[in-house]
Amino acid sequence: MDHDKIRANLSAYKDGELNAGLRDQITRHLQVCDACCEELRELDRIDSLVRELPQIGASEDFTSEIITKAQTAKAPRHWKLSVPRRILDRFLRLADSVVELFPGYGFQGGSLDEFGDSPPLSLSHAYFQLIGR
Amino acid sequence: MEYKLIEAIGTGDTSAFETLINRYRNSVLNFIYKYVGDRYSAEDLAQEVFLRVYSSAAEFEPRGKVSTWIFKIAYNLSLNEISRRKRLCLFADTEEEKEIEIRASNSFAFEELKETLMDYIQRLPEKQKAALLLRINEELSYSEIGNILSTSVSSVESLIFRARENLRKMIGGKQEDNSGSR
Repeated sequence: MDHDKIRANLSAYKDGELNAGLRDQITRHLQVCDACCEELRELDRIDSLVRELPQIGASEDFTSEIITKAQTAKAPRHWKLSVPRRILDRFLRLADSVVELFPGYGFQGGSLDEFGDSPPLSLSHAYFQLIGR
Repeated sequence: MEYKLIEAIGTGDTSAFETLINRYRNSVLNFIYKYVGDRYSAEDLAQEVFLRVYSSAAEFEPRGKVSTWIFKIAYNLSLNEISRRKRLCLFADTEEEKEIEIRASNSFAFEELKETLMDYIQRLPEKQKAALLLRINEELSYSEIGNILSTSVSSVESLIFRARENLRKMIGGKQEDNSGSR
């Protein structure tokens, strides 16, 4: 294998990303080629310089600030549960706007306890919750 | 283990969220800092990374590593920031111009290279810069880097090779100029 091909693969060789065959060829070549060894050392030196770049630390309130922002922002989305919830929400908003068009038909009094036996996800329960606010 | 953490965050568990932030904050912050080259933007962007993690944790599909997912968000936000700055003409160079400009002009001693290395890294084309930082500082595999940059393993190999070559040219140029000026 010639020097150019070796050099083109030295970066991936250094990162341990070559297949075993190519890796062995390069290892054998490096045992006898000073120029390619020097090339590899040069890559090591560049990596060391990049690694030694100054690090910065997060401010003291970094984590608490994020948590506060997260809590005040929208809650995490629960897609698996949200589909029926979103359908129900849309239905309730639609029902709300329809009911508001006919205020005379709104719930006029009494207690919602009277409807306590409605199944929680039934339309009647949703309706009476809506108009009974 | 980390999947459970993300699952808990998806249910709104703030202590799980805090654990995740503390685990990744330094690496995410420093990746963004070296990528964007500005510590103040880095902190804001790093916070935004974690807020995105929080808001989309429930959608996370446990197919890849959590770290890869987090760095993908960090990379995309950093890239957006660079694009925003370019639109505002804070950076004037196109990537092609950067490739051509990869050369050195001033005299610096070897020890001073570290101080100017941040500038060299900023001159690298975006994907080369990201691939190199993720490889050297985060020690991610080419496959993981490919996932983050949405590119193939062979492209990552080429990106890292060219990034190292470009840095070497810049450093070599500085050293030649340095010896020539003495």
